[in-house]
Amino acid sequence: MKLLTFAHRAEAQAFHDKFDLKSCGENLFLNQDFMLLVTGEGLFEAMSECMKVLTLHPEISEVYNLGIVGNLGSQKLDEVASIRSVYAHDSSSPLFKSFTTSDPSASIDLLSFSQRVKDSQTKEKLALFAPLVDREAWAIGFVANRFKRPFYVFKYISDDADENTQCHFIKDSAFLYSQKLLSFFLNFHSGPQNEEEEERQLPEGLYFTRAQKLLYFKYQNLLETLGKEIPSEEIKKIMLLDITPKQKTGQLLNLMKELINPMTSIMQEELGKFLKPFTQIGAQVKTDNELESSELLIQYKIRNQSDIDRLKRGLELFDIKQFERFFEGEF
Amino acid sequence: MFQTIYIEHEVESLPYTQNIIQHFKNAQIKTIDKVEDYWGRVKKPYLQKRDNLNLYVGRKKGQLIKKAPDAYGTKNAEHYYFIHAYNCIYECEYCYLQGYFHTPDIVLYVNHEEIRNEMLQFIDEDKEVWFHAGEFSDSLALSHITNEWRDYWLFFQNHPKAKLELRTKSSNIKPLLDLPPISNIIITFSLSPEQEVKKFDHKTASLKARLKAIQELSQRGFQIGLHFDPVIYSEDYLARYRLLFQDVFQNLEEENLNYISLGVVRFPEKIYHQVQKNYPQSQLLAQEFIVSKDGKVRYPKPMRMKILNDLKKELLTFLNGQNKVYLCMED
Repeated sequence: MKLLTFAHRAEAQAFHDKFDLKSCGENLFLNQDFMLLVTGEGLFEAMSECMKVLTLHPEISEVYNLGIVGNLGSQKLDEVASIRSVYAHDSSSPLFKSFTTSDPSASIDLLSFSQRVKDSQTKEKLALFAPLVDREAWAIGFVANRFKRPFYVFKYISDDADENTQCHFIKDSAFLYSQKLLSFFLNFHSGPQNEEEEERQLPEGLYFTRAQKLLYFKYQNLLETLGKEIPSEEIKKIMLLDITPKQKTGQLLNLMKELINPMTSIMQEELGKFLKPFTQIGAQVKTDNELESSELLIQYKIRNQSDIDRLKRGLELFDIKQFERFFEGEF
Repeated sequence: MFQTIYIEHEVESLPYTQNIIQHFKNAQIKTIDKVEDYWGRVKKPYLQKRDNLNLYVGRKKGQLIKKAPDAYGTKNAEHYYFIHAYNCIYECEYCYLQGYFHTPDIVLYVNHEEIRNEMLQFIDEDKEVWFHAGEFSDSLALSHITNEWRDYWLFFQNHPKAKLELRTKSSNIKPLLDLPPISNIIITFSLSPEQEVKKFDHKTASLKARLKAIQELSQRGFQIGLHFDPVIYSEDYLARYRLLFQDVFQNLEEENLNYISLGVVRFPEKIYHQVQKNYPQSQLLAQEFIVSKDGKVRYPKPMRMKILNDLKKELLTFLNGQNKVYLCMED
C-alpha cells in the first residue's frame, strides 16, 4: 500500500479521479493499492496527520509527498521534479536534520519553510539552502524516516517564490498541476517489477529466505566486481548433497563468501590447526570473537585420570608461541 | 566545479580570496557574515558533492593548530596538524570525510598569516616538530588556486627544525615547481596499486600522473614521503604492491625519500556505516571487518598484521637496508 500525501485537496484531484478512491476518514481516501491523505498546509499539520496515518496503517510500505513548490533559484518552471534531499527552516534558522528520498535519480533539493514566501529578501535568504521551497515535504520525510519507510517527493514547480506569487492563479490552475503530477507519478512506476526479476536470477533447486536472497545478490555483485565466478563443479557438488534445499543455500553462500575473502578461510584453517590438540580430545575452545587477542577459553570435562592425561597431552602439544605469532600476522 | 561560492565579508578583499574568485568565473558569488552560519548547518548528504558542490571562503577562528593523534607520523617527533581547509574535491570510497562533517561543501580558510603565527608557539629549535596539512583536505589539489604555499616556504626556510608535510592524491605540483626544494618541507603522496586507484579513488590523479609528479619533484631535489595507506585486501595484494613499489622506486631518487608509512584500511564505526550507505556495492566492503579494541572497524588482527609484514618486508628490499618505514595507526 502506497501513501500519497498532499497539502491541498485541489492538488490531489487527478489522483482521486484516476484511482477511484473512497473516503475512509477525515481527509483520508483509499483503494486497494493507494491511500491518499490531505494533510493541510504547514510542517506541523503535515507531520501530525502523516504520523497518525502511519501509526494506524502499518500496511503502508512507501510514502509519497506530492504538490506544488515555489522556485527560489533558476529552476525551470512548469515542470515536475523528483526531489533528492529535503531541508527545513523555521524562519529564524535552518533545522539540522535533512531527509534524502529513495529516488537515486533525483537531483534537486527542496527546503520546507515554516511560512509562505512572499518577498525577495526571504527568497534570497532561503536560496542559500536549496533551489525550491514548499511547506510540508520535510515533515513527511521526518515521519517516513521514523517509520523506516521509503520516501519520495514529486513537486510541480509552479512559480517564483516572492512578492509576485499569485495564490489565486495557482489555485485556479491546481487541476492542471495535479494532472502533471499524476502523469509523472505513473511514469515513475512504469519500470520493471524488481521482485519478479530477482526470482528469475536465483539458482534453481534451492530455497532462499528473504535474508539469504539479499545476501546472495550482495555476494553475486561482489563476485562480479572481483571478476570471479562460482565454479560450476562446486555448485554441482552442493546440489548432490543429501541435505535440505535451505541448507544447500547455506553451503552455496559459504562458498561464495570464501571466494570473496579467501584470507578468512586461510585464517580459520590455521586456527583449526592450532586448536587441534584440544578439539581432538573433545574440549570446547573459545577464541576471541574478533581475533584481536590470543586469549583462549578451554572447557573440558574431567571424569577420570585418563581425561587428565589427555588434557595434559593436549596442553603439551599446543604451541602458544606459534599461536601468538599467528596474531602478529606470521602464517 | 562549484555552484556557489560563499565568501565572508571579512576576507573578501584579500588577494588569496580574489585569486579564488578569478578561477571560478561561472560560479555564483554570495557574500555572507560567517561561514559557520551556513556551512554544515543542515545535513547535506555526502554524495551530493558529485553535482552540487559549494565553496566557502573565510577566516578560521579559534584553535588553528592541533596535536595529531598518537601513532601519527614518525616517532621521536611532535606532530601537529593545521586547519586551512575542510573537505576535498576528490571522492575516495574509504575517506573518513564522508562522515566527519555534516556537509561535503568545501571550506578554504585564507588567514594563513595567523596560522603561521600560531605555529611559532609550537616550534622548538631543539626538537623536531612536524606540521601536517591535509588532515581534512588534500594539500595540493587546489593549490594552484589557493596559492598559499609560497608564503609557508619562506616561513619554513627560517625555521629549519620545523617540518611541513603537504599530503596529496593529486599530481598538481605546478605551484611547487617555482619554489626551491628545502629539506624540511616534505611532499607526501598517497599511493595504491593502479586497480585500487581506479576502483576506490574517484576523481583523483591517476597512479601514472602521481608517479610522474614524484619523479619530477624528486629530480629537482624535493623531499618526498610515501603513504601506502590504506591498503585494501585483494587475493593478489602482494603482487600488486610489488609492481607498485617497483614503479615508485624507479621514479624516486633514494636520497630524497624522507619516509614511508604503511597502513591497512580502517574506519571509525560511524564512517564505516557511511561507506556502507554511500557505496553499498563497493569491493571495499567485500572483506570481513571487525570492531577492534580502539573502536575502529578493521580487518582482524592476524590478517592486517600479515598484510603489513608482507608489504614491509617487500619494501625493505628496495631500501638497501634503511628502515624508513613506519606502520601507521598500528601498535
